[in-house]
Amino acid sequence: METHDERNRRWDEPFGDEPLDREAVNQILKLPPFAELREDDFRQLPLHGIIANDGRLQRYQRGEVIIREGDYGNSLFAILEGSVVGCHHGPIWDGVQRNRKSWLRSFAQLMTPAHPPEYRAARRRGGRRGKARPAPESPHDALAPIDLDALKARVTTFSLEAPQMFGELAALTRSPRIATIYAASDNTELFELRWQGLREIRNWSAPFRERIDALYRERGLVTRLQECPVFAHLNWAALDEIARESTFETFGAVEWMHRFKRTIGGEAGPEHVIEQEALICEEGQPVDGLLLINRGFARITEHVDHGERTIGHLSSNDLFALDEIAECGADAVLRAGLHAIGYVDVIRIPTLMVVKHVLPALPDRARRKDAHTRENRGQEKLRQGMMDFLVDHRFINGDHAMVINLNRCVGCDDCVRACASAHDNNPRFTRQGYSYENAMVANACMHCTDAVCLIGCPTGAIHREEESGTIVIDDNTCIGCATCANSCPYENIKMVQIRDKTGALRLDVNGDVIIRATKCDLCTTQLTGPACVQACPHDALARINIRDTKSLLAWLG
Amino acid sequence: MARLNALVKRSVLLNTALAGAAFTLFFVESRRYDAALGDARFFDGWVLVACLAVMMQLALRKRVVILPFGRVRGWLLLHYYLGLAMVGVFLVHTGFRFPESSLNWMLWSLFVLVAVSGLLGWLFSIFIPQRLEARGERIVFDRIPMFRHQLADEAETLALESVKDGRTESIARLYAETLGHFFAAPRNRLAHLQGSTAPIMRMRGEIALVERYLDEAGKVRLAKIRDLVEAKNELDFHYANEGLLKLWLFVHVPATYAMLVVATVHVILAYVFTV
Repeated sequence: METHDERNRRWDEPFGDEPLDREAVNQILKLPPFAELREDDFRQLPLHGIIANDGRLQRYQRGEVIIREGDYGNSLFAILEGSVVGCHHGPIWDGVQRNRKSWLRSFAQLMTPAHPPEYRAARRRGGRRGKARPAPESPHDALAPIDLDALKARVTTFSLEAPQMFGELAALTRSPRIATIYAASDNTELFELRWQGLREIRNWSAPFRERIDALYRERGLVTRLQECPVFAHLNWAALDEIARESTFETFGAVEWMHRFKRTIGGEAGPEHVIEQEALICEEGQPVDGLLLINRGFARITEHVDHGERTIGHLSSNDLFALDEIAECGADAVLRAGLHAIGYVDVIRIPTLMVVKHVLPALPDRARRKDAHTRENRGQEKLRQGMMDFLVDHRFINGDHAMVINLNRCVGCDDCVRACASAHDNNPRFTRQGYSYENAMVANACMHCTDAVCLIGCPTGAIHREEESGTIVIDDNTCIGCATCANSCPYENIKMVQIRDKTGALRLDVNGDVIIRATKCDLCTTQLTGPACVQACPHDALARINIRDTKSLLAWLG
Repeated sequence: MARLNALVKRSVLLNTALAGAAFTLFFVESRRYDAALGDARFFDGWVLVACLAVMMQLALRKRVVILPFGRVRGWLLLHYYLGLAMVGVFLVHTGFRFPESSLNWMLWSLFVLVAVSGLLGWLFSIFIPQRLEARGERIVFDRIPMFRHQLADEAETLALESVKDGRTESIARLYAETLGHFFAAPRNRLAHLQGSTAPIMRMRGEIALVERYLDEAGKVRLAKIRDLVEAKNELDFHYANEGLLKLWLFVHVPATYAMLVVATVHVILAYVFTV
């Protein structure tokens, strides 16, 4: 038994309520960053189509929030008209999950008879494709406009005017927004381009890529310096001088996951993963500046006989070689090596700058060994085996990894049943995975810091929720291309064949089975949060940030 | 709430003390009731019914896991400690005597069965996971039959290959007499639960006995079979222990429902023949 339905397509759901009209697209293509684009360069998708469907026009009044610091945005903004004001005053999320179900809907979910596995409602409506859904409500809509004059009196702000752009840092790095931006004048008009369009344009147009990447480097560098606690005591002039002298370097490959999967799944095993990690600096070599990790993860190693022993790992905002510079200045020699775990962005700050600006005013506490990394971030020293296990398998990427304490797990599968209960009878994880001692990291989406699954999605179906950063898949826009599933280094995304109410497979017009990507969504729509954690009767299952080793070890016992 | 959860789940002593306090409160109240010339057995009985009703909520909580009524862990702890207190209430209710009618004997037996199976389940859930973890990689219970079939097929293939070679009978004979039976189903469950290694030692001995009759190719084949036997032994260990983690529920849950039915009859009869 089969039923026929339509597949989701690339632009079924435009970014705005409707695709932009030709006039609007032409207006955008006159903006400086887009003016250099040539239609001929775009071989796979038409440029006009990208702008029309992956972009939208937004209008704001003075004081209205455009983006909020701490939110996970994945779009770039270009100012068409008016101006904006930005500031760094810390994340302002109110902690309210706006997409949570009500009690009534939760009850209704429990009362509804179970559907067949992977049931999906028909997409075809009355023989015609339904009208595009309205754009989801923005969490900013609930915020009242603020008094900009009062804000400027309170915090340092910066201004941007047409035709400048912003938002590229979060969009390119899949990380939280680093500033809150308000409209500075009434009727400020912005063009917002979502990640999928930005990616296509960046891929096919070299001038655009260079412009965006230059902007990313310029702003990313200063921003990262400002965020790092070691530079917190510096004034603007010193920061500016350091930024001018520092360089942006990248190590490893952005799409590191394919090679990693081959190695981890092959006969060689995880202990050989280190061999594919790019060397950033080698133990015993002279220090060539202070390294600040901008994005990604790095492994600290020391030579032991004929191999490298992992003694730690670094992530965003961590520093490397500060201890050596603090002790020996410009003549320092590295006491450990540094490898890129996957792909790493590093800011190299010249030793001279560190000696001149950073060391003199650096508090003693911050100089102490590892104070800038472990102590401030809830890290506790791991035993070697556990360190190797977590770093070699790259579990340190996980913000909400499902860790099962095998000393307590009785194998009752209540977690699996709870997951199924929360997802219309479809469990979204497998209770198995790599284990070390009593810790098993189960095959459940870890909602990674460096979520490589997001990179290739053609429609943006897999995305981060703006406020919580949880990675979710929009079933209405997933076209079943399996790019995310192939990209996930941990095999935590599953492709499923969808069915109708009778359990029959849904086929497209060509007779091929329609498939969709599925994975753990941390039960973001449920009142309880992750149902697996709620359901475990023996406290054997937790969703843990693997880098928070203090909590991890305390929980493992 | 999280802090409270952490406190509750780790404080066995505190929980036991709370259960003890609840029981003491009940006992004092029961004696007061008795002193006031009331029939304390009705009071005790209704306390038992109330405890039972609360404990039954664990199953309901598991069914409505997407509603925010607290973590199942908390409900299970309540189930455990209320169960402990309930044993005391039950003893008071029975007057520390054996029953005198067949219905009460049935109820008494069922209560003991539920309490003992529950206590055993509690202990199993603490000690068996540690035992399994100490043994190495955890095997999912439902997949054990599949793995066992794979091992059995491989062992059979090796035995058949040794016959086809035309020069070796020993391995085929060993398979026919011992290994075939060993691979066909889970074996030595009791030994695995006791932690005894006698069955696997015996099996290793039988394999070693054959080795002297084999040429090099045969020895390689036998070494593979030895590995399969060790793997099967591991599967049996997991099957026995993980099976026990599931088996006790097959006693505890039906006995609980049977107890509910008999208890209902007991309450009705108590009112019919006393009031």
